[in-house]
Amino acid sequence: MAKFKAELEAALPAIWRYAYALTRDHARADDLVQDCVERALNKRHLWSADRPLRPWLAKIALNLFRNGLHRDRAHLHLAYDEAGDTSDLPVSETHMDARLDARRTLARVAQLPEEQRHALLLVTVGGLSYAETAEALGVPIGTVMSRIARARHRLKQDPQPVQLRSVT
Amino acid sequence: MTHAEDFDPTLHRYADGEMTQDEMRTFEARMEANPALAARVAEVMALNEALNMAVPSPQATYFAKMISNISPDISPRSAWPRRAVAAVALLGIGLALGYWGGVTRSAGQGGVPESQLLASASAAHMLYTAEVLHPVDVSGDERDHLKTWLTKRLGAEVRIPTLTQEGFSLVGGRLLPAPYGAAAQFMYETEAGQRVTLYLTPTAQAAVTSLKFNTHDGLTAVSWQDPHWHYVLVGAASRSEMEHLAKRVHGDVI
Repeated sequence: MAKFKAELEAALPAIWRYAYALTRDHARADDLVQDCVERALNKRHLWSADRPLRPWLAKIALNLFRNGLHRDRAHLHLAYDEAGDTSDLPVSETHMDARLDARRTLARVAQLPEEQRHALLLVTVGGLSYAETAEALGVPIGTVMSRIARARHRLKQDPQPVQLRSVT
Repeated sequence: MTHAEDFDPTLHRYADGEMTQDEMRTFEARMEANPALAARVAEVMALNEALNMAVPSPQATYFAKMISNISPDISPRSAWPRRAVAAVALLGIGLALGYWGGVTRSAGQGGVPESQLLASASAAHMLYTAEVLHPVDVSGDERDHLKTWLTKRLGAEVRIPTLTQEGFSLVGGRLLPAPYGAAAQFMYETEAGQRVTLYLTPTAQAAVTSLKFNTHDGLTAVSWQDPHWHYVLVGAASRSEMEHLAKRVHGDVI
């Protein structure tokens, strides 16, 4: 149990960043990661110690997100996010513009097809390797690479600001 | 305008730190000879940097605290507000799936409108799969009890399909209202928590239909009738994965 918790703690920063990139909200990222930890602790007997923990946790986070609740909230709050709410970012005047741009980039990632978005975020924000991402998503490494390539291609093609979507 | 370099796998492996030292040296030599490639690498790396800048990085102590605050099996945290939020959101998705079901409904099919079934099934899916504490009324450990109870309440023999070969174990089931009468919902999940639900309600008008697929916002609903039951299988999975599961369910219940 102690070993499991230590590994869990080491893996969580990556999972939290991924959760934040999906929900774009500090509190919702916390919620998602807490649910993820709860599930991992409850199901730790299903995890074998010789398997890396990060892909398993990423898979749990992805499923929790897909299971509805966290995603729904993201939709409900979309209008605020895309209105340029930066309240949860550390405010530093010199970096303000860069951070706003960064925030807009993250909002554009949210418009990508789901499979491309998860592959891109797990690798770039979560810092998972291609192999770990492949395991988390349950697809071959080649598929991860092609999803990332398509995601980046699409982000280049579509640089205009995101439109506000319906909040339903 | 072509974008050949966009789909060069080595470019992405380089930008994502997937290369060995040797591979990096080889790739950097290629970049020197190919300005378009070098420019694209710079773009991709700027994109990575922007994404990382947009995401905060809490300290390790933050997570140590989070873990110690959570004990397994006990999580009374805000179960009701979360349900309420889910209930609002699921209406939209349920209606959207139901709408497509209505549009694709084949003519001359009697009984309950398929759109209503799809809306009910997907709304129930959204509501209960999001539950961490009480996803079901009766746990999958009490399979026999679940079957007896629902058979009695629905007035027709209920069969609970087994999806263990597909990696899904039975979480349990519950009784739900249906457009006309009652329905049962069974929930299944994988080891990593991917959840699908099967919604079934009996009908007096016998018919056998093929599988119909409706997708909305990442959620796929597969529906069919055979012969005295309406079935709707709902999950956030690809069409092919859902089709495979539906066929498995179909084979298991007849």
